[in-house]
Amino acid sequence: MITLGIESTAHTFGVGICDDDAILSNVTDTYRGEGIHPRKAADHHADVAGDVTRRALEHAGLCASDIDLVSFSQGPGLGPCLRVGATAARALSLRNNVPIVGVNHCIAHIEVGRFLLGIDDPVTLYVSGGNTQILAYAGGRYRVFGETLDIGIGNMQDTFARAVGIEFPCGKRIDELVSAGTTYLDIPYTIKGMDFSFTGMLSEAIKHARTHPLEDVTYSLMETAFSIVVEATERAMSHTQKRDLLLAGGNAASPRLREMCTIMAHDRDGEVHIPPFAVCRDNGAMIAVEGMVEYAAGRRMALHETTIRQKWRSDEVDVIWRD
Amino acid sequence: MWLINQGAEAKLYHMTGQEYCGVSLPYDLVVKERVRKRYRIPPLDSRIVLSRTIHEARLLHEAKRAGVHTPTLFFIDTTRHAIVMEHIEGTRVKERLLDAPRTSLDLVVRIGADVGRLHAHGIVHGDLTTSNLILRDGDVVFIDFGLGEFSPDVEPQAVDLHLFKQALMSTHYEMTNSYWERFLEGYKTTMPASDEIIERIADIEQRGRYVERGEQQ
Repeated sequence: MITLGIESTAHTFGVGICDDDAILSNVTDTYRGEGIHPRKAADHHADVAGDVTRRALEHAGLCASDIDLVSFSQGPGLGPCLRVGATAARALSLRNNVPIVGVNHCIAHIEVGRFLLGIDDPVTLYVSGGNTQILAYAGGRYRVFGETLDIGIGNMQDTFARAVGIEFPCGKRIDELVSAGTTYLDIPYTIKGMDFSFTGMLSEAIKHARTHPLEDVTYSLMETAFSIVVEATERAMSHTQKRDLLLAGGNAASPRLREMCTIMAHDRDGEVHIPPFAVCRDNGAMIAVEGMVEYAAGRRMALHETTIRQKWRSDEVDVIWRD
Repeated sequence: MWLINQGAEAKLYHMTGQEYCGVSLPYDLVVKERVRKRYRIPPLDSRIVLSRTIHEARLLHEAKRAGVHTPTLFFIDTTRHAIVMEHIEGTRVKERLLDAPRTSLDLVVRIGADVGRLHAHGIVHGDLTTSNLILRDGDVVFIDFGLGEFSPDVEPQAVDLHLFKQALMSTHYEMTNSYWERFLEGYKTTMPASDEIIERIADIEQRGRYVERGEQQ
C-alpha cells in the first residue's frame, strides 16, 4: 500500500511517501523567520505545498494516481498551519478518490522510529521546539510519563539565542558553544517527579549572559536542560521497566543530548535508538508511516472527522495497531 | 553490611557502626547513598546530589519536630553524599494491614493523625505508601522522605493524600473505603486546615489526565 503523508504542524511543511516496507521519499520545506508567526508560516506552507508534493512524488518515482492512502498531521500544532496540511490532504483524497486518515503528530514520531529501527516497545524522549515529552505505551495508549510544564526545550533554546544575539537558525551555533564552554554557572534545576520546566533557567541564563562568556552560559544552560530531561527519562524507564530508549524530535540532533542518553541507557543496561535526522525532525514520511499503520489496523475517517485538533494529546489516541 | 535496596536515585545499605566508620555502636545504621549520574557534568551532579541529600535530612529532622517518628539522623556524609540514620527494626505497615486487615483500623487512624501533624508543620512526604511506614514497638515510623518537600500549600498536601489513597486502592483494595475513612478521621484531629485539603482531593481526582482538553475545530 502506498501512503502519502502531509506534515504541517509548525515551521515545516513536509510530504513523505512510504510503502509497507520502506520510506520512498521525504521532502520538507521550512518557514524561516525569527520565532514563528502562525499565519505567516501558514502562508509559507500554502505557497510551497504544490511544489513539495510534486517533488515527493518525483523522488519516489510515482504519480498522484499511484497513491492508495493520504494521511496528514491532524494535531497538535498551530491552527493556521494545520489547516493548510488538512486542506491539501482532503483535496488529494477527493481528487484521487482514496481514503484519508488524520494522525497525531507526536505519536507519528514514535511509530516512524519503531518502523525504521524495529524497536518493539521503547520509552520515547521527544524533544522539539514546541514539545518536550516522555512517552511510553501502557494499556492501549501512549501515556505521557513526563512533560514540560511550560515551554519545549527547542523553544527555550531559540528564545535564549534571540536574547543573546545568536542568528536564527541557532542549532549548530548552540552546539558549538556548548562544546566550547568550560565553566559551569549555577542554573536552576527544576524537576518534579517526571515533569520539568524551562522558563526559570531561561531567565537565569539570560541574566548570566550579561556578565559571563557566552560559551559558558550556553554550556551551563544546555547541560542543565538536557540533564533534567535525561533524569526524567531514566525515571520513566525505571518506572515502566522498559530498556529501549527512542529519541525523536528536532532537538534529538544535539550531539550532547545523544551522548547523555547513551551514557544513561548504558548504565542501566538499556539501549538508545536514534533514527536518521530526516525522520527525527518534523517530516511527512513519519505521517505517511503512521497513517499506513493505523489504516492497516482498521482506522477509517469520514471527511467531516478530519477537522484539525490543535491541542490533541498523545494519550487521547486509542492505539489500535498494537497488541 | 548488605544492600537493602538499589533504586535509580539511591542505594540503601544496612551497616554496623564498625562497618561504616570503624566504631562500635549499640545500634545498626542505614546509609542512604545517592547515586551519581555519569551523564551529568560533575559540578552539576555534585550540586544536585548534595542539595537533595541535605534536603532529605532536613525533612527527616523537621518531621520529628512535628511529633512524628522518623529514623534518627546521625550524620550527613557529604563525601559519600549519603545520610546516615538509625536502622528501624519492625514490620512494614503494608504487611500488618494485609495480615490483619480488620483489626488494624486504629492503626490507620493513627497514621492519619501523623500525616496531619506533618501537614500542619508544612511537611509533604511525597511518597506516602504503606511500604514507607514501619511499625516498631507500637509506633509508626515514617521513612523515605526522598520525594518530600516543605510546603504549607493546599495543592501539594492534597496530592500527598491522594497518593496515599491510590496506594490503598492498589495494595489494600478490599479495605480501601474503611481505611480511607479512618485515615481521614485521624487526619482531621491534627490538621487544622483539613477541610480545605480534603475538598481539594476531589478536584484532583476529577482533573484526570486523559480527558480532552483542547477545543476541536
